[in-house]
Amino acid sequence: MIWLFRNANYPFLKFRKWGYGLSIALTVLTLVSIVAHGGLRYSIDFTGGTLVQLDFERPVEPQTLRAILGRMPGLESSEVQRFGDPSDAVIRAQVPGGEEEVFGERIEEHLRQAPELADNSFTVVRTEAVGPKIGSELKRQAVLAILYALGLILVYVAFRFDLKFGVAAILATTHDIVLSIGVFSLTGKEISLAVVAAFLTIVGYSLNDTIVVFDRIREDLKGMRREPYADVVNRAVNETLSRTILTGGTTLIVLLLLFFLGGEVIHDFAFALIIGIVIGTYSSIFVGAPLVVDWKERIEDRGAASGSDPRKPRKRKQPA
Amino acid sequence: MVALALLAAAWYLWPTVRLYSMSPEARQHLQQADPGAWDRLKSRAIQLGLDLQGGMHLVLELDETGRSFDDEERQDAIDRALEIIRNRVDQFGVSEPLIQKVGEERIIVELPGIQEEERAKELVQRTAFLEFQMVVDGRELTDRLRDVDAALAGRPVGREAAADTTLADSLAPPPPEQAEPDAEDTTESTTLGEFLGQEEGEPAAQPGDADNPLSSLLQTEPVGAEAFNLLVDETQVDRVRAMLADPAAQQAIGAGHEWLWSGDATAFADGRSYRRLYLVEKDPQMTGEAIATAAAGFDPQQMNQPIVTLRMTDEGANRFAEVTGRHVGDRMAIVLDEVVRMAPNIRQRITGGNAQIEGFDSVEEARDIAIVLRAGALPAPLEIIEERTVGPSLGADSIESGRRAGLLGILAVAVFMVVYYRASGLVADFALAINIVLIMAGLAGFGATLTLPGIAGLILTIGMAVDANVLVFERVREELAVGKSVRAALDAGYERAFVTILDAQITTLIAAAVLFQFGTGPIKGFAVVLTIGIITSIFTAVFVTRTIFETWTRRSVVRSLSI
Repeated sequence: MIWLFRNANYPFLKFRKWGYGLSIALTVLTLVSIVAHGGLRYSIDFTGGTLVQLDFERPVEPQTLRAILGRMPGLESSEVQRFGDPSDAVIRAQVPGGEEEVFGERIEEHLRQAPELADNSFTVVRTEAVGPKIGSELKRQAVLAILYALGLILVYVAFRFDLKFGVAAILATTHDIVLSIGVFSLTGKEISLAVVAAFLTIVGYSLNDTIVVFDRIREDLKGMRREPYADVVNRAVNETLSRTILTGGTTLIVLLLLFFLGGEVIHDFAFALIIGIVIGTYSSIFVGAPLVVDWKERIEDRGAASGSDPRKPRKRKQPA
Repeated sequence: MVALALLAAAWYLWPTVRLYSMSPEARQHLQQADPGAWDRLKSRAIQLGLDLQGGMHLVLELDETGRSFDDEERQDAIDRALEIIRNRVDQFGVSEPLIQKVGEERIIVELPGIQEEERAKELVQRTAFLEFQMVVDGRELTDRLRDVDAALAGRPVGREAAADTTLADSLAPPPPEQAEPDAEDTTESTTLGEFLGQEEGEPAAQPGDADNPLSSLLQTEPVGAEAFNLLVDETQVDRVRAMLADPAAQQAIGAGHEWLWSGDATAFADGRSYRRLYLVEKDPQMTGEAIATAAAGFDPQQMNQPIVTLRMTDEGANRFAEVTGRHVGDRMAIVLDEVVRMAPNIRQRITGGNAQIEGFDSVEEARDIAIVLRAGALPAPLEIIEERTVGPSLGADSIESGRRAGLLGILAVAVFMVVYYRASGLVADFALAINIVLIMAGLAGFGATLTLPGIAGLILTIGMAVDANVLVFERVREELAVGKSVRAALDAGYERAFVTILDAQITTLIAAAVLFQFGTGPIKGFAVVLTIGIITSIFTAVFVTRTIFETWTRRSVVRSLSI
């Protein structure tokens, strides 16, 4: 019988300072990266603009396309990228003043007339045009959606467990989102509508993971009277460790398959989920559970009379 | 209960299986032989999103640049636009279009499988505001041009020539034939300066002439003895437009007049392309409201010329007869969406309420114009604020890659479970298989649409669905390790894990619900799959596998469990 982490007893909680340190360092790195890159790179879903995906008969160099577009006024700043296959290319352009939808046609027309492409015909397989107004609206909605999700979950967890679990869960999840955004900033990938959807999914997944650990903490607290709070939590983390790794593992397997085989269109979506799952798994062990302990030890115990019963985390008013 | 769920799943999935296992020929056959059965089958099978089957997605909003609306007007305009677009799309013949109002002031149009995107866009967006406006010709036109030139050059606008309005009545009779739209290739164009020069004895103006800024950029195309069209070289159109927009120039033509352009530029014998410019009376004699119906056809005189024939309402016909009777010899511009389609000469009073529009590039164009004229004009211009199109080949590729990734994902997870949990892993795999069937059935049952992110959601669910089983199995292992019997360990394992499963999955469900609210189209598809997947995975992990274990342990005393 294969048994991962049988009777695991790793002193995770002892190293929680390292965990916090790493998380804070990565958060700082995220902020630095965002500032260094001059903000996040948003897709045209959010900035407004035009995207044209072309499927050529033969492989084509992005350089060639760039040179052709450079000759057309207003298109010099178009971004050209290979899209998976060497004969596929994506052209993105920012268009001033509500001309997004005619721009795709102009790009197409211009390329059709280019002598360089005379012997390499192409078909337009995808076009997207988003007006700047709808883009900024979507951006606001995306931020709101993530905040709503976090808020609702805070309420649910606080209701099912208690406030400190709720706050710890939300902090852990926010941490996951921030670091995932950081990875997108560091790799220079664009944040699109699909990526935001992936982030929201990470909110769900990461919490799922955290809750399983919390649930075990709650259960173990019922039995252990004399043990220090931190030890109970540490035990719960260890007991759920194999499950955490197994579920993370199966999810990661399918996502890797999706990333490598699912096609270009879904690439960034799968990438965001993979990043999120890895960070989410890490955070439920090294961020979520330790935060519960620190809240308990530093805020509840300090505020409450000494000798409070560790097995019953009491409802408390939110500290200032 | 499990059996019941499976039966229901089979019932919902059957149409999908039937539809997608049909050969293209068989589909076509059924479609023709029994359209009713075809529609039923299609509506009950899982729908593919635009990103998978290809098509066009448009978001439209009222264009408020020209005028502003109060809330009530805007609502009314949007509702009417919705109705009219629906009408147009129906007549265009797109299968299963979606035309919907989102929020208060937007319209979503989804046209699956559309190939001619430009045409579809025109059809949806065209305001189709038809107006019949009288053209200002002859002496009055030259006077006005002189005024505009003067205004632009900063000279006082002379009105003395314009005072001689009776001149127009004494002019030579209009030419018997209107200018044929395709005849201009042979027409010689003359600069306006020459034209004016012949009449007034002034030297010909050169382009860029400071004294005659406007007319030096114009050419003329005679239409009979007195009337002429103004031509603008295609490269100069923007320049002329800017001049005409000048407030002084606007004032020079008077409040009752406006400039209108012809549609596309036409090539002339001198090898250059020109657009025609018309000065017309602002107040239309009639509008599209007078049109009862419109049809595309061919000109009976010239077989290859596509035309649109208009049939007017009784009221419209009376008005048309009256207007044409009053204006015999004048030219009337037929203006569609501020573009002059043609400006024929009125030869006689026209009774009977029939008219025709010529000058289309293709039969399709004529057909589309007929559709929009029939369906009526939009209450206000619409602006496309978002447009996404996916070609059918890309969609097919996406399905193929999704299928491959999904199948391999299922295989990998299934093998993993068996390797790790052995016989119990097989039970979990069985549950996983049922889970996938249930998700698909759920999609069909709710009439949901499968999108590319939806496929990703399905694949993600495969990875996450085993979570519930992992939770249970890990728990059972623990219980066995402390020495409980198989039966007791299973009971305790399921019981304890159940709370965890519920708590954990509800948070995912909350995230999925928010996602559903936030997302449009493809993203919504993902949220739907995720939601259904969470529910079915709880069901399969808790009920399906438990039933299997219970049946087994009840029959005999089981001493060991392969887990």
